[in-house]
Amino acid sequence: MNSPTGRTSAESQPGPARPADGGVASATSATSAASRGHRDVVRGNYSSAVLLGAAVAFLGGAFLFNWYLNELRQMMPSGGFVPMQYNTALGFVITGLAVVAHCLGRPRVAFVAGAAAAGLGSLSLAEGLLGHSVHIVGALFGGSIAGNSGPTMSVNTSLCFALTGALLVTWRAPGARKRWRTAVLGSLAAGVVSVGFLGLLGYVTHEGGTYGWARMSAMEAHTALGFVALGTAFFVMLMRMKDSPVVGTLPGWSAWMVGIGVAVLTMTLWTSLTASDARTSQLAETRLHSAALSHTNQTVQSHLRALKRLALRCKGEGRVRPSDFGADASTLLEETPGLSSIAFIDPGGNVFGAQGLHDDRTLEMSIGERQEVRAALRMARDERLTTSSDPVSLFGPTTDLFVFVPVYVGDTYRGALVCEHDLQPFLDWIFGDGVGRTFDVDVCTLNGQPFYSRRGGASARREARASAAAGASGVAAQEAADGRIGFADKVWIMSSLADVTVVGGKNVSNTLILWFGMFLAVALAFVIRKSGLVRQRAVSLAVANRTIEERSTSLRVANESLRATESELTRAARAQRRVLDSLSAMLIGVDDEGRVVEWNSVASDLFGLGDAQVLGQVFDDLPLCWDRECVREAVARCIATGERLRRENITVTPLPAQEALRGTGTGMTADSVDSAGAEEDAAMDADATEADAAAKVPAESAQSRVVSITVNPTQTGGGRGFAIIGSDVTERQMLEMQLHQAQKLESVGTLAAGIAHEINTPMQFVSDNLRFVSQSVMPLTSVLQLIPELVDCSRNGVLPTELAARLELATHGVDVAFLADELPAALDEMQEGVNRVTTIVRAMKDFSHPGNQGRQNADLNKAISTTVSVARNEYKYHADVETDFGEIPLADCYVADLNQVFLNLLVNAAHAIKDVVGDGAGRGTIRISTRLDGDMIEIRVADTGAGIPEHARSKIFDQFFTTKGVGKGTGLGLAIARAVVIDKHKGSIRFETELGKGTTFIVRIPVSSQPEDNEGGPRAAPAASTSAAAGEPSDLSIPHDAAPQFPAANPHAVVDPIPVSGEPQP
Amino acid sequence: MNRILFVDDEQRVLSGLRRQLHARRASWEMQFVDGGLAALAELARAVAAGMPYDVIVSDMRMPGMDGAQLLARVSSEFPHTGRLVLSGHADPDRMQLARSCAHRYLQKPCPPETLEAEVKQAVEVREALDRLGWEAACAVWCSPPKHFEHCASVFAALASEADTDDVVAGLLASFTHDTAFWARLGLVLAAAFPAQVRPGAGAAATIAAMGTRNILSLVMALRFSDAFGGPPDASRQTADLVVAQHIAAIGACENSGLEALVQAVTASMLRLPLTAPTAPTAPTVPTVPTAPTAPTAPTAPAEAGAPSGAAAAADRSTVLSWLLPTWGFKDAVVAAAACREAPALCPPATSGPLVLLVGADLLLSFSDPAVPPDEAFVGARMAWLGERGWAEPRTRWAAAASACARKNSSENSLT
Repeated sequence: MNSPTGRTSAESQPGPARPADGGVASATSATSAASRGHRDVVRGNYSSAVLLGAAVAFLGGAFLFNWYLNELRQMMPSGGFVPMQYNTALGFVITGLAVVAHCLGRPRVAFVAGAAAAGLGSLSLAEGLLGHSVHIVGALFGGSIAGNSGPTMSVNTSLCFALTGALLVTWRAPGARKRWRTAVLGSLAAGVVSVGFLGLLGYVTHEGGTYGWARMSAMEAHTALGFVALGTAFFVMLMRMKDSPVVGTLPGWSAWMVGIGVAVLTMTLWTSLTASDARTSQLAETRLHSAALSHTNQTVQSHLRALKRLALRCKGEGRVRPSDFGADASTLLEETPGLSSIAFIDPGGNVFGAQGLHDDRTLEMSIGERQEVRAALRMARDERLTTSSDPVSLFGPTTDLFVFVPVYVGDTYRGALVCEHDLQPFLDWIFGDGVGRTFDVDVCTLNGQPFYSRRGGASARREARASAAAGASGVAAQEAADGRIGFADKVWIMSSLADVTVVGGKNVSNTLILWFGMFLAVALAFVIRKSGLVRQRAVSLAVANRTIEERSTSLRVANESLRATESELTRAARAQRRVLDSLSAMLIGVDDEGRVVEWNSVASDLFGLGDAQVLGQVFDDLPLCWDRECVREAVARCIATGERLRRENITVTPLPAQEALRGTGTGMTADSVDSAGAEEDAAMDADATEADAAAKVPAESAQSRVVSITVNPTQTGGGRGFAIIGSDVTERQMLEMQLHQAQKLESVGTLAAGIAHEINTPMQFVSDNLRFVSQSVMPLTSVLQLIPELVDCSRNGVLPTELAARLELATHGVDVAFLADELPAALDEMQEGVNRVTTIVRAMKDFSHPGNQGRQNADLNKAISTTVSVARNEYKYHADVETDFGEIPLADCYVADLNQVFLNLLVNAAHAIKDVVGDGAGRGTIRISTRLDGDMIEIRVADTGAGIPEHARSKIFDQFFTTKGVGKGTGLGLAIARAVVIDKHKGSIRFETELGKGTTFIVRIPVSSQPEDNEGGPRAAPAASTSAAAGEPSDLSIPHDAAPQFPAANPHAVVDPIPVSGEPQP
Repeated sequence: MNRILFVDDEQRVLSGLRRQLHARRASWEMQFVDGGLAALAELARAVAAGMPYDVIVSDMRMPGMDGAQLLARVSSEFPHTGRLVLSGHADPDRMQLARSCAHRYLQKPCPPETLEAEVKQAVEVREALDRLGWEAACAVWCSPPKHFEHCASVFAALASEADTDDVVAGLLASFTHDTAFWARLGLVLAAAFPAQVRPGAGAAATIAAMGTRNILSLVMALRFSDAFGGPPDASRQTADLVVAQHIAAIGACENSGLEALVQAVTASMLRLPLTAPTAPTAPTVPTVPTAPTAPTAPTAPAEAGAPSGAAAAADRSTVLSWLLPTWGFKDAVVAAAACREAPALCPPATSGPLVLLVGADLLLSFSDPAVPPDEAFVGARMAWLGERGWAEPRTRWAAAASACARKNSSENSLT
C-alpha cells in the first residue's frame, strides 16, 4: 500500500501549498490512472478536517454572536453552565478558520492564524496563572463586552490554545525535520484532544478537577467539545500528511470508526450533560455555587486589590492630595464595574475627594447616618483591616456596600478609603448570566440578612421560594455551606434552587446544541463516508484498473504475438525479397491484368527503374529500353500457347535517371516511349549491321547489357500472367570475346618467336653488310677525291708520279676487286633484308591490326598471302606453301577474323606435316587455293599430313579439343574458325581427310553478306549452304546443331520453347 | 692464324659475315658453309689437312641437320673446336638447347665486335687449356655443364635476381636427396658459418639457416668443384675447410656481411686444379676420343718452377673467368675465383669476397709451420693487399683465425 501511495503523491503536484501532500493514504489503493479521482479523494479526506475546523469556527462564532447579543443562555446546555468566554470563542474562530485555511491550501493564513492563536493562548495562560488580566480581547470588542471585565479564559483553555497555535505554527515552520515535526505535531494534537476530552469527560462524570483546574475558572463544556473537534481535525490532517507515522498503517475503516466514535461520543456527552434528574440538578447547583462563588470571589478580590492599591498610594503620599486621588479614583471607578463612588475619610470623619455617583455631602451623610457603616469604619480603623459594611439601601431598591480601607502611616491613622459598592449589577452579572433562568438564587449574610434575590422560572414558585428562603435561610445557609462569598470581612451565603420544571424540559438551546452535534456527526459521517466512497471508488477503480491492466497485458501479449507474426511475415517477405534480389537473374512478374507484380533488383539495375516506379504499372506501358517487339512477340506467344519461350541477346539500356522520372512521373505515353524505343532499336540494328558484332556491346553505352530471357507462363490454363526471367549474358559474351581474343593472341604468340627469328635473321646480314659497306667506302672516298685530277691527267695524257703515288697510297690495302664484287651484292642483300623485314612487319600489321576489326570489303587472296608471310617460320623448315589464287571479288567480311582462320588452318597444316616429316630432311606441301563458286568464295587449304584419325573427326571443331601436347595448343583454333566462318559470315567450313594422305579444309565465304533476318531463323541459310556443300563421302561437314555458337554474332536469336528444343546451348 | 667455320642455312647471313669479317682475314681464316652436314665434312677435311678449326659458329635452325645436332657431333668428334651459336631465335627453350651444346650463345643480330671478342676468348681459353694440359682440361672444355637436372634453370636462377625464393627452393629440392653431398657441404658451411650451421645438419636445416639463394650458389660451387676439381681427396677437402674457416675469421674481423662471406666461400670452392701437364695427376677424366692430332705437346709446362706456376695461374684465371659465367655465378664470385689465382692480373677494383679469399689463402700458406710458405705466392698477395690499403693485416687475421680455430675445436670436442 505504501508504494502506490508514494507513486500517487509523486504524481501529484509537488507544491507545498497543496494539501494533497499528505497523500491519500488509506483512502485509495493508488489508482495511478485516475488523477481526477485522486483529487476527489484528497478533497474528501481533507474535507473532514475542513468540516471539523468549520464546526469549531462556527462554535466560536456562535458564542461570539451571542456574547454580542447578550443571549448566552441560548447556548448553554443547562442553567448551571458557565458560558464560553468570548476570548475562548474568538480563539475557536481563529483556530477553526486556521484549520480550514490549512486544508484549503492556505498554509500561510493558517500559520498567521496559528501564531495568533498561540499568542492568545499563551497570553491568557499567563493571565490566568498570574491572576492579572490585561484585557486583550476586551479591547477588540469595544463597548458591548469591554465594559464587562468578566473572567478570563480558564487555564486549560489557554493551554489548549497555546498548544493549538504551536501546532499550527509548527506545521508551517520551515526547515523542521519531517520526522521530528511529525512527532511534535502528533503530541501537540494529542495534548489538545486529551485536554478537551478530559474536560468533556469531567462534565459527564462530575469530576470538576478535569475541567476546572486549580479552582480558578473551569473550561466550559463547549470549549472542551471544541478542542476535541479541533484535535480530531489535526489528527485528520496529520493522517493526510506525507510520511506521517499514522499514515498507511490505518486501514480504510478507521476513518469510519473515528467518525462514528466522535459522533457517538458527542451524542453521549451531550445527552448526559442535558439529562435532568434531581441529582443532576443538585450537582448543577453545587457546580453553580462553586462556579459562581469562585467567579464572585475572583471579582471581589480584584476590586479589593484595586482599592488596596489605591489606599497604598494614598498612604505612600503621606498626605492625600485631592487632585491626585481624584485622578486615581476616577480611573478605578472606570475600570471596576459596581463601584459607585470613591472617597477619602479623614480621621475626623470628613469626606472629601469624592468621585462617582455621590458627592461629598451625600457620602458624608450616608456614612455618618448609617450605624452599620460607621461600625464598619470604626472596625477598619481599629482592626486596620479592610472591612465592608452590611448592605444598605441608599436610594431606592439598590443594595450598596461600603468598603473601607484604612490608611496608616506608621501607627498613625490617617484616614480611610471608602468606596461604595453597588452589588446589584455585580450579582446580576454573576448570577444573571452565569446561572440563567433555571435557578432561583438568594444571597444573604451570615447573620441571615438577605440582600440579593433572583428568581428564575415561574412566579408561583418564585413566591414559594421567597417565603421558604425567608423562613429557612438558616437551612439554606447550611445546605449551601460551600456557597460563601468572602468580601472584606463579610461572608455571604448564597443559596440556589434549581427550577425542576424548567430544567426537566428541553431547552431550545440544548436542542440546538444537539442538532449541532447531530449535524456534526452526520457531517463527519458523510465526510468519512464520502472519503470511504472515494476510497471505495478508488478501490473499484483500482480493480477496474487492474482489470484494464490485465486486459491490456493480454492485449499487449496478443499484440506482441501479432507483431511477431507480422514481423515473421515481414521477415519472410523480406527474405523472399532478398532471395529475389540476390538472384543474379532479372525477374519480372506480370499478373493477369498485365501489371507488374515482381521486379527484382537486377531488373531495377538493368532498366534503371526502381521497383517503386514499376510495381503496379501496366507492363506494356513501361518505358523499357529493349527490344520491345521481340519481347512482346514472345509474351504474346507465351500467353497464347502457354509455353516457355526463350529469347537470346536482347540488349537492355537503362533509362537515364531523369528520363525514368519523366517516363513514370509525368505520364509519358506508352506510344512515345515505344516509338523512342523502336527508334533506338532501329539504330541499334543499324549499328549491329555495321559494327563488329563482337565489339557491339562495349561499343554501345557502357551500361547496356545483353540478356537472355525466358518468358514463363505463370498461370495454368492459359491465364495472361507471365514471368520474364532474364540472365545477364554480358559477361559471358565478354568472356567469349576475350576467349576469342585470347586465341588470337595465342596464335600471334605462337608466331611471335618465329617472327622474331624472321626479323632477326635479315637484321643480322643487313647490319653485317652495312658495317662492311661503311668500312669499305671510307678508304674509297680518298680515291674518289683523286678522280677529277685523274680525269684531267687523262685528258692531258700525262700521269704525274706524284698523283700515281697518292693513288697508290689511297688504294693501298683496299681490295678493289673484292669491293667491286661485293659492294653491289651487299647493297642488294641489304635491300632484300630490309624488304623482308618490311614485309613481315606489314604482314603482322595486316594480320591483326586493330584498325581492321570492322566489316569491310577485303581481298581474300591478299589476306591469305599476308597470313602465309606471317606464318612462314612455322612451316618453312618442313613444308612449302603453294598458292593457287583464283579470280575472286572482294568479299564483305571481317578480314581480321578471317586472317585468324587462315592462320589457324595454315599452322594446323604445318604441324600436321611436321608430325609426318619430323626433323628429317623431308618436306611436305601446303596448298592453298581460292576460287569463286557462285556467290561464295571457296578457300581450300590442303596439306600432305597424316590426315585426321577417325575418332577425332567429330570433335575437331569442339572448343578445347586438341591433339597437341599440353602447353602446345588450347584447342580453340578450329572452334574459333568455325564460329567466325559460320556465325559471323554465314559461311561454311568443312574438311575432307584421308589417313596418310592429308587433309583439306574447305571454307566458303559469301561474297556479300545479306542483311540478316533477325526475326526469322537466322541460321537456316548457312545451315543449308553447309549441307549443300557436303558432297563427298568423306565430307565431314559440321552438323549444324553441334556447332558451338558465339552469340554475339547472332543477336536476338530465337530459341524455341525449351521443352520442344532439345538443342544444347553452348 | 685462327681458323673459324661459319654455318648458316641463310646464304645472305653467311655472305654478310664474310664481307664484314673480310678485314680480319689476316688473323682469321674463315670458311662458310650452309648446312650441318657440309660443316662436318669441312671440319673433317680440315683435320685431315692438319689445320683443324679453332671455332665453329653455327646457326640453330637449319633444314636437315640443325645446330644442336651439328654441335653435338662437333663436341664429340672435334673436341678442340670451340662451339658458338649465332641464332635468331629468342625463345628460351631454344636458347637453353643451344647453351647445352655450345660454349657460347650469340643472339642475332650480333654486333661484329661481340662476335670477334667471343671468338677470340674461345681461342684464348682453348689455348690456355692446351697449355694446362689437355687431358685434364677436356672436362672443362669438352662437355657443357650438363651434370644434373635442370642445370639450365639453376644457372638462370643463380644469375637472376628476379626469381622468387620459391623457385630457387624448388630447384634446390632436386639436390636434397643426395645425403653425402649435403654432408660435405655441411662441413664447409660449419667451418665458414659456425653461427648458422652445425656440422651434420640436414639439407632442410642447412637451407633454412643459410637462405635459399646463398645455399644455391654454394651448392653450385660444390657441384663445380666436383665437376672440375678432380677426384675429391682428403688434402683438398681439408684445405677447403681451412680456407672456409679463415674466411669466416677474417670476415668476422673485418665485419663483412653474410653475402660477402657466402660469395667468398663460394669462390673458394671454384677452383680448377689444373696445374701443370707434368703433374702425374692421372685424372679419371672420361676418356675422350683424343684427336688424332693432339695439340702439340704443351711446351710451357715442361719447365716446372715458379714462372710456369704463375703462367698456369694466369691460364687458370682465364679459363675460370670464361667458364664460370655459364654456370650462372655472379660477377663478384667470378672475379674472386678468377683473380684469386693471379691477383696481380685482376682489375684494380677491390671486391670484398676477393679480399677475404686472398687473406684466407695467405693464412693458409702460413698454416703449416713445417712447410715454408711460397715466397712468390705470399709476396704477390701481400703486395696486392698493400696496394689496396690492407697493410699488414696478417697478424690480426691470424689471431682471429686461431681464435676461431680454438673455438671450433672446443665446440667440436663438446659435441
